[in-house]
Amino acid sequence: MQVLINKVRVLDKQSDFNDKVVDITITDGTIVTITEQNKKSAKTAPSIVAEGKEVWKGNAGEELLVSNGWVDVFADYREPGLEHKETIATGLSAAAAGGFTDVLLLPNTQPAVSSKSVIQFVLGKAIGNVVSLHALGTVTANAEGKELAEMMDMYANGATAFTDGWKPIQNANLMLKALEYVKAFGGTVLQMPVDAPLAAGGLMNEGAVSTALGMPGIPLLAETLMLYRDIELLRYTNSKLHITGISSAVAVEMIRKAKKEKLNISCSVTPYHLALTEDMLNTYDSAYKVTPPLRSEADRLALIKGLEDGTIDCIATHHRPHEWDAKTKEFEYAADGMAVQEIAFNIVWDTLKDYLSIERITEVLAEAPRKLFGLKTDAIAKGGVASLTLFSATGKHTLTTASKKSAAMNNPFIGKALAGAVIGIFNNSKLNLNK
Amino acid sequence: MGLSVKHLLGIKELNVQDIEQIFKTADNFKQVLQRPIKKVPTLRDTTVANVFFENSTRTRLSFELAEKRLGADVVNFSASGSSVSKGETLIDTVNNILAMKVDMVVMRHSASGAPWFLANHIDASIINAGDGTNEHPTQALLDAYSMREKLGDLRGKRVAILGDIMHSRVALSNIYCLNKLGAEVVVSGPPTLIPKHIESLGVKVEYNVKKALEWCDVANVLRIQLERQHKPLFSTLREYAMYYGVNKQMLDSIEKDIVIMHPGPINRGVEINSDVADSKQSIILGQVENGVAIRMAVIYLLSGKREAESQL
Amino acid sequence: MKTLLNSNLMNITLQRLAHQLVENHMPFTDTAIIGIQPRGIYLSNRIASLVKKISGNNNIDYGLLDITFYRDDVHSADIHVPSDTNMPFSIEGKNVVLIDDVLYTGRTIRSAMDALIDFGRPKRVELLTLIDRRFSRELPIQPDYNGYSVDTILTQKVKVYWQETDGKDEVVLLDKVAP
Repeated sequence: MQVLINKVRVLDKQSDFNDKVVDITITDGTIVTITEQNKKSAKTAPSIVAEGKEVWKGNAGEELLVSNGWVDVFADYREPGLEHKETIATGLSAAAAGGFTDVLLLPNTQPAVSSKSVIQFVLGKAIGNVVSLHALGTVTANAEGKELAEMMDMYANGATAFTDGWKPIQNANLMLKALEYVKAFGGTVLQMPVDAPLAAGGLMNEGAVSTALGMPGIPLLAETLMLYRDIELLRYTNSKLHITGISSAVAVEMIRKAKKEKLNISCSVTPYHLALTEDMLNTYDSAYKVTPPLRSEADRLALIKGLEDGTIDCIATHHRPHEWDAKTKEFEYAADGMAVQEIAFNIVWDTLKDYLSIERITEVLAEAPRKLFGLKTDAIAKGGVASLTLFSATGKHTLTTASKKSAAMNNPFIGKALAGAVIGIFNNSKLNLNK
Repeated sequence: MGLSVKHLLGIKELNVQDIEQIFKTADNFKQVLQRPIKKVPTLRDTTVANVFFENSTRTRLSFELAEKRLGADVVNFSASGSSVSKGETLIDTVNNILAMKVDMVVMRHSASGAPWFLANHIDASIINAGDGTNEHPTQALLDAYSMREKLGDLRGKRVAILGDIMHSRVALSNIYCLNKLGAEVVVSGPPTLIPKHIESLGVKVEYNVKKALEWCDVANVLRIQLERQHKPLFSTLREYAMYYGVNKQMLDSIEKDIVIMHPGPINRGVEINSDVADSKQSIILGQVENGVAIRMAVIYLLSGKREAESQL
Repeated sequence: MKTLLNSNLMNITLQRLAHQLVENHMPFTDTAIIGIQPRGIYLSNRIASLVKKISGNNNIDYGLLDITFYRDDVHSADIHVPSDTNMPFSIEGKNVVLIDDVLYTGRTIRSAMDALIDFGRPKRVELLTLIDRRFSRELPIQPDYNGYSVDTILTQKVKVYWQETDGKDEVVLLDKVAP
């Protein structure tokens, strides 16, 4: 299959064509030609041609951008076991629509991704898909937090990294052993910093807002204490740790300091922690019930600063799909999480366009996570294997219930006009365009 | 002219005019309650459902009496434990009740904000009879009404709320109500039972109960919510009673006569001693009496304009 | 706008109504005068004090009755804010004279009678009004004592001004534009 991408600006620091407007020809998944455009054609519109047929055309003067394929480092597709919430198939469609060529899949399924056979099942479900699926294995057997899972065997059978996902490891000794154990094969442990006993019973960020709402609070300590512990365990073991879903100014500062101390630590933030604060909970709307909880405006601004200065490495959507019934309940009983993967870019760009350049956004969506998790990345250049995300920084995109690809019903951003647009992805020798 | 709200979800959403109007109307109902026929036919065309997802005897009784004295028909639904454990959702439960042509819902629920959730999903007016650790608006209204009866205008009056502030919906509603009416509020109790950020609501914290009593004109002594505590918050009831309980000796050592209130049910000998609860300073039974009048006022004022019968 | 009663005429009318009451109820030992809240009380205040003056009896039972909780239109309009009821006497076995300023549909009087019997069983109930809007009655209720009868149509409105609140005694007929 041959695909031509005309008049597209390259955002790839590895490439000689970085920041240049080019025409790209891809044949059978490999970039065969890439040529810089003449200035005089500045008034022509960008376009995409597949098998000789124009399949997409931009407006004259509109800028089409291309970067290496984006990565979501923390998404849950619920299969096997909870297919009524989402399946790997619907999840991957959502990922493709969201511009993600690569997804790191959470292991909190039933059964948990805790053995070779479940890894194989999960990976098998994604064969032939335009999106590349990467399995995260559990650190402890069945993510129960009791004993170590067979991480080496899972690694040998395709697990990309290890985490207990929504159930962060509470036992310090177990966490220590896990960090040591993965050193044998250079593995990475992902951890969401939540101290379960401190957070127990809490429903939102503890503070003036929770007090005014009469809601039990989760103290910030639940995040910072766990983060402190994990940083010290990392220092002790000299292993590799990725912290996901940091939500507070203090946590950003702790990671900034740990990075200065040359610890092998990286971290990611969710789109909703960048965009929203605890004030969203004023009407007890369970759509905004998430873990870690939404925090204050000061925390939100600190997260943006962290993303700006490189303390925060990448975006993790924390895609956590639910059916309508699970979420439409009294706040206390409602399920936790949002499923925003397919408009993650729009949420991030809509929030950050006044703070960050589009170049920095592509770094956190593509370059950084690809490097952190060792995903194969060729430069956007002749001979490179094409794993690309095509997008636009201008215009507005509105996701609707009718147009959404995810099976999940818990996306409070549906119906909101957000900045930017994902045009499509090219990956695994396939082109997928958003119509 | 009615209230500025369609539901009574909390005191937080009321303005001062609303509160004054409820008090004024309660005055009239209090008059009715002193007549030989303690009943008016005002809401004889109205059916009210008391939906209680949490055990409550006195609040339900007070509401039921208020409804009956307004001439309304009353149905009661109680489910101890959560609706979730029964497998039926809250919306289904309430819609089932509404399908029987019920016009108003009085709800108690163990989850904070549950009345908000319900208000977003059904058409009937909702009166919050206590939700989780959030609000218990009619209790706060009757408390403030009783205080005002005893002390006059509450502006500048000093009210101490004592005990388990963290697990009490009465405390939060009281704070909102008293703030709106211009009273000063101090909360007092063991540090583990006082929310960390409570001062953001415009109240002061005093861990020493004796000092709080010396400061105040009114002490509203709250119940220790043994059933709502998830965490280890104090050692023993014995220690609590000794150091945080209100007793006669303590009151006698204070120069002035302060008014003692308790929203009930009382753990006698724990947060309050019988020699205080039954003393002349106590207006606990007056609160109970005012509760019916306040609830009649709230139900009446929310019963207002009804949409034309639904076109079925 | 048309003046139905000016200050002078109104005074004469009130005097007549008071004398009629005295004629029928002297010495007022078994009679209670009750004004209907909120608008009937200006008339009832005047009548009560005139009756006291004429009869020389200052201990006539006089009370105010609020009928808000007995209305039949609780859900068809905005909620009505109640006024005070103040009847510091028993009406059991008494002759009660209800007083309201304008008799129109008769619904207020119906409500007042319901409210009244919740306080006891009077021997007899009479009605005194200042203005009777004839031909607009929706219930079979007629005044026993009436100041002035007027024929009106639905779009018109009778407004009573009182010295105590409005600075003048006057009754006018307002022509309102039909909606």
